[in-house]
Amino acid sequence: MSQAVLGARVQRKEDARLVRGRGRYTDDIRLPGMLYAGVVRSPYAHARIRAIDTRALEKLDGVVRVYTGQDLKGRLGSIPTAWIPPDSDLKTVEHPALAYDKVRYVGDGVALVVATSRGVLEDALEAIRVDYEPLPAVYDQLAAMKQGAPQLHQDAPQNVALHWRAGTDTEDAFRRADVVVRRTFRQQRLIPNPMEPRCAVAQYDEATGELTVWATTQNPHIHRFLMANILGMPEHKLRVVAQDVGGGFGSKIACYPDEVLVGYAARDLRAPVKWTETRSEHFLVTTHGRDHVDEVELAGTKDGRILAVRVRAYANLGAYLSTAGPGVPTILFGLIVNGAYDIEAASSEVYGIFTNTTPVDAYRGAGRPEATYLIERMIDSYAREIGMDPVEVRRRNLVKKDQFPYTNPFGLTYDSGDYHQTLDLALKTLDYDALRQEQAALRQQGKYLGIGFSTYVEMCGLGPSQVAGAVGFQGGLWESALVRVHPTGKVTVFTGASPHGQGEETTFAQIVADRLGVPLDDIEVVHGDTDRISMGWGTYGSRTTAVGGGALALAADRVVAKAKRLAAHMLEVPEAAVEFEQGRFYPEGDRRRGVSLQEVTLQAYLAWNLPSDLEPGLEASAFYDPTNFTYPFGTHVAVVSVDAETGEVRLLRYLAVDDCGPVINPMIVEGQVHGGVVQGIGQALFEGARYDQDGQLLTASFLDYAMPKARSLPRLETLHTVTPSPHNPLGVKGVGETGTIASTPAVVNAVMDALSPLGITDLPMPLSPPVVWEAIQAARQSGGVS
Amino acid sequence: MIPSAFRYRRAQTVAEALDLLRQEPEAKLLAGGQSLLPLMKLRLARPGTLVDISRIDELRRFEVRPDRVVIGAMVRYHQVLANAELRARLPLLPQAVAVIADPQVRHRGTVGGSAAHADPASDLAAVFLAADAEFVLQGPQGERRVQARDWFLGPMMSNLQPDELLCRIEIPLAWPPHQAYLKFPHPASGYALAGVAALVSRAPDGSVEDVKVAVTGAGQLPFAAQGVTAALKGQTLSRQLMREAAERGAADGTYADDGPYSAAYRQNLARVMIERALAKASES
Ligand SMILES: Cc1cc2nc3c(=O)[nH]c(=O)nc-3n(C[C@H](O)[C@H](O)[C@H](O)COP(=O)(O)OP(=O)(O)OC[C@H]3O[C@@H](n4cnc5c(N)ncnc54)[C@H](O)[C@@H]3O)c2cc1C
Repeated sequence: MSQAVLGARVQRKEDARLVRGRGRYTDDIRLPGMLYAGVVRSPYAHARIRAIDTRALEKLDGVVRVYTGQDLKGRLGSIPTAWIPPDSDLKTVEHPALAYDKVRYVGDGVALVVATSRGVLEDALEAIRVDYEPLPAVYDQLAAMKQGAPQLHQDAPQNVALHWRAGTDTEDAFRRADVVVRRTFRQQRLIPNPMEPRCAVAQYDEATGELTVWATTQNPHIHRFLMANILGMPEHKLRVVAQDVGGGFGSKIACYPDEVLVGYAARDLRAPVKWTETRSEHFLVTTHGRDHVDEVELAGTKDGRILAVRVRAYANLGAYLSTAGPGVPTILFGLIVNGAYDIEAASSEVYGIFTNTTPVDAYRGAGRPEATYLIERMIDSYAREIGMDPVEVRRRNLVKKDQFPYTNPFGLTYDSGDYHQTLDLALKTLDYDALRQEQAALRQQGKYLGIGFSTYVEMCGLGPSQVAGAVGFQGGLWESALVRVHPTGKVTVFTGASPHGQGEETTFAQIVADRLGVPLDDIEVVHGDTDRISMGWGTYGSRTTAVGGGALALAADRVVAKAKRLAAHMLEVPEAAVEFEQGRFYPEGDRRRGVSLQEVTLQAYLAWNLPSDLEPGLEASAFYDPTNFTYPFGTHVAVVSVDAETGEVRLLRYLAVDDCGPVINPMIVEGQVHGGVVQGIGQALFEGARYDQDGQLLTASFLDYAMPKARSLPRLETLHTVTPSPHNPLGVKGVGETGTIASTPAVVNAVMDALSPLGITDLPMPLSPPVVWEAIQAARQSGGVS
Repeated sequence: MIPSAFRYRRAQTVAEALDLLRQEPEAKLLAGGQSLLPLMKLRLARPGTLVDISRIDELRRFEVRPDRVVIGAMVRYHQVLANAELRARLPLLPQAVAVIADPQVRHRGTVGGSAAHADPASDLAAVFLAADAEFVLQGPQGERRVQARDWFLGPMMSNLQPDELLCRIEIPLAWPPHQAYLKFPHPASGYALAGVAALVSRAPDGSVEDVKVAVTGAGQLPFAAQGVTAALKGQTLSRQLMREAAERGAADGTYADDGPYSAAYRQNLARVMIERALAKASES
């Protein structure tokens, strides 16, 4: 069985309920006497609140209560950030759950209304009159840093929230360089849009003084930790539950004002309260991703050897610091801008800037897509500059197999890898030479075919807690697991990770089935409830299987170890002479005699005859703290054609060769790669938030914000190499974000390759039809070859 | 996402619907609801009363006659797709309907609702204009007939008075099946950034006897690209000629900048899509 279950294409256990519409999402919760809450939100990006007039509500039946920012001032703590990068001079500005003097972005909450139905609620939200004094607003980070720009927070002069640097000296390398390539990239702002918008329901139990908050969160324990402080409640009286969560992509990490307000209202009103985000609200108030302006320089030799890379990044953090906001453009970005390449000198300098926009936080990949975009685009730019095939430049600079563990210029130690192998496999699969010939032939006919590569590495499996502390993350990053074998031999597994679409109810069951030798169907994976799981740090940063799975493997092994002692006692042989295979214990070399784990378990609970030093029961927990991050890597290739008449980019092929270590379930891994790749393609070709001068979001619905659609995608080809991570019990590396991290630059590189005959070297994302078409027009007018 | 309060009335006949329209305060007709209900949920529309016309038999007529097709206003998109005779006689129409939205919307949305709503990017607008549809209305003063060229008065504004009801649309079956509808969807909404309906009829010698092209989405209003007809009538088709005709046809539209889509881009897209639709229609 063990061979069969680990690495098997097992169907997802969770799908039986999810695809039948039997999932239980937060919004599905209906409690007796439940009230509905909604937030009055600022229509201005920046304004002073003069007065709030709620008199019209008196005429509305069913309005229970209104709270304004002034009402809550002093009653609720500030919404904190949980990431304070050291030596960054981070300005931890106040973030009130409801603004009481100034609003700082469109969507900033000014009042909470609680009503008996959603219908009344929406009437009430409309009926409240807020008198604003509009102030000048700034949405662009470069503009926000200028003298005389509108100031968002008193304690952040020129809107600079943080200034952070890392890396080595690069001057010498730039002096020695034959070639210096300079580029400025804009990595546009993205709006996550998981299928399920956010939601929170809270219920206060007067008898016990306990507050339960059901919320769409990726990390219920972090929510509890933060909310206990904000609400001023003892942590053990607060329970946070994440039921089925319909995707997060980072946007459900943050602790938002909304769930705090719902908790407050439920406690204050002694009644259950629900808040459900509308899609329109989601566009405005759920954290956005990316939004960088990056100035990059690369120093290299004529023959394709990269000497140094340095980056100065301006990261738009939005109006307030979100939970992980400050860590994303610093730690998760600035420490890995050399990518998968062995570059001796590298440095990053990052400004985090406040603007009158929605707060920015982690979005699938969080920092690493931004870093990968830079270096992968730079490799291609450099290759073009020195007239070398970008594949060859990659080959010459990728960290070599025998260099692992490899320490990069920022001090990160890449655990293991064979980067060249993924590149070779990709080239072979594509028949690269033939593809280049086809490209040349098509160019003769005036057709634009492009091939783009991305040979990425990322850091994930977050991560050693000691490192978390050193980089200013205000929490630990270990993970917990508890494996409980019930008297009948059925198993419940409790994990501190909080999967919300990634399929760990299945992969975690596979890990346990493999270790304990029990059937998959006998294993239940429980997650997402602070009352059922003692502690955990949640799901993000591709950490769940590497860290949570690691904890689980250790806990399962402890169960087996204890059971083995009892089995030895039952078999009347010394423990050292007991073998365990496929759920049965045998005396060494004697397969006729033996007891199953199930039989041992029953005896452990009956406790009629235990060895004197063995406690009854059979369960074990583990708190696993990894010693390093994990570093998945691979080669992604996009083949595109550009329709010069319409500017439309068509993806002809997309190949992903990934190495995430041993694959527990190939189907789930493929699913993760598919979803990730498509999201990355979304950034390259379709998505992008746009604001007007007044800070109004112009792309505030699906009418204007383009998500990638099935009709625009090719069949995705996925392949794998397997290089285990040497430092975690399963050797797994994480695969939740690789697709997003790798694909954006692969696609953009492909489009730039296609357009290279026109002399076009860079275009701003998304490479939408008008952007491409206008560039082609301009190139033709300025006499570029066509 | 909850509309403001409204009354709901269901009309059984056209006469009753007209009465309700007159009597009820701020009444609006409800057909498939695929445009109206989203607007109400966003509270951009706040009718006092919804008059449901979906049960009125007269509005559900759907006949392919020898000389024309008669489409009751309540005929739903999916019915158009399922009509085999129509596919043979006016393939343009099902081609356009097939690229509207998704199966859910196509099962509720109606031909009449699309016409009445007059979204300047609706797919059917190009079909109505190219195929010379005629709109038959009922109002307090009785019946009124409006030609397609007089229908689209402005964005979201058809030639329909608040007290009138669109009963049916009649489209002459005057064209051979060299027809094509081609759409370049808006990457976000899926509506036409440029949608082109093209009808071609050939003389026995292969030259163009007549041609009609209309464009939706690209311009501020849907328009008939008369320049195409002028350029091609009586001519023998060639790539070069179609390109020139498309250029002239696109020039018949009025374009405006709209976010990332500049007027120049929109006009270019109209030109390209006209050219491609012509090629497709003439090859079909
Ligand atoms: C997700 C989505 C995607 C869409 N994509 C597209 C697309 O790609 N292309 C496209 O063309 N359309 C698209 N639509 C719009 C769709 O075609 C609508 O169904 C259509 O525009 C309206 O038809 P309806 O029957 O739903 O009208 P309703 O929404 O019921 O009514 C629309 C308006 O017309 C009025 N009205 C309706 N019937 C009559 C009548 N008989 N007489 C007088 N007034 C009347 C109503 O009072 C209302 O003001 C999309 C809609 C959705 C929801």
